[in-house]
Amino acid sequence: MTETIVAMAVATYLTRLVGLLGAPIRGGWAVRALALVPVAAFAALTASSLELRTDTWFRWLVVGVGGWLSWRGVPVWACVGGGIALYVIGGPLFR
Amino acid sequence: MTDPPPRRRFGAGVVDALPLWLGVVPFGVVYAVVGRRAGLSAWEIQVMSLLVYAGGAQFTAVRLLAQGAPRSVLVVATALINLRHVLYGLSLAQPLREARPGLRGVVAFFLVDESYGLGTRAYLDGRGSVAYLLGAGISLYVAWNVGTALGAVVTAAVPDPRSAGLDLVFPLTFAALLAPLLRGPANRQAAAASFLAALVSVPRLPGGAGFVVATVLGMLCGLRAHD
Repeated sequence: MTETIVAMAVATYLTRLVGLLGAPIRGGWAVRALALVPVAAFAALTASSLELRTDTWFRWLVVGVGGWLSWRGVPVWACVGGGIALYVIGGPLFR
Repeated sequence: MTDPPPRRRFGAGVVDALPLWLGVVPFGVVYAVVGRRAGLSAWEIQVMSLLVYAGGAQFTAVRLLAQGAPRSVLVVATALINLRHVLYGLSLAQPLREARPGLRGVVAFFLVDESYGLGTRAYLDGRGSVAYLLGAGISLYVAWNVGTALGAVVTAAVPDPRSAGLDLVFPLTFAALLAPLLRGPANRQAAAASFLAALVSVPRLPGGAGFVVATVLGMLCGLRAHD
């Protein structure tokens, strides 16, 4: 099993290293596209933790409130804490 | 005003990642419990967290092991699930261009979704650095391994963190990182397309393919808004 774990570690590390070690991409559309990676990735990461089911509406609401707080300038840690608090307090009522 | 020293930036990365411990530690516990049920020893479970440090890939690996999949499949699945890191690396190559290759190699080891998110936001806010990225990455690495160690020694039944809503730490964090970036039509269209595509593709496509498809689609839609 140890050999498999080491192979998994190498596979993971290479995917992390290959983009970082390459020369920075320059010029035109490629730079504009890479500038969009954070916004596209954060959106996909948010969505991948949510489900399109009616019984999950409260989770959607909690995540929406967290995003709205951040939009209003609240720090990330407070958005996370506030969202979890809302879920814990409101969950028994609305879940 | 002078730039803060690397040690202070490193500390800022460590501290900014602390709220994520709330989600990372319980999932480390659950991963270890699932790993033990799949027949792995406590040592193997911990070594996987220490060397691989990729929650999604590790969960998939122990699930595949429990189903009796060949070990080569575990390695291929790991590479596919982590393909998104190539995009992260490409987008960080420009801000990290001044860093020595060896240091970039160290950053690469600690590059996960959450450290990428925190590190990128710090760069966009003008306070990003290699030290910050490392601080966030190492903080999360410690959290993941503490969770794994706890799960490996716990013998009682472990409740699912989802039942307490702790899995919400992850979408809450990424939504909070995303919201301030939703300025300008290109960013808004990229986010909307990526979000909608991920809702559809992530549950349907195997490995990490759904995430990569959604992100690339979002980038393309954002580019169209630029033109």
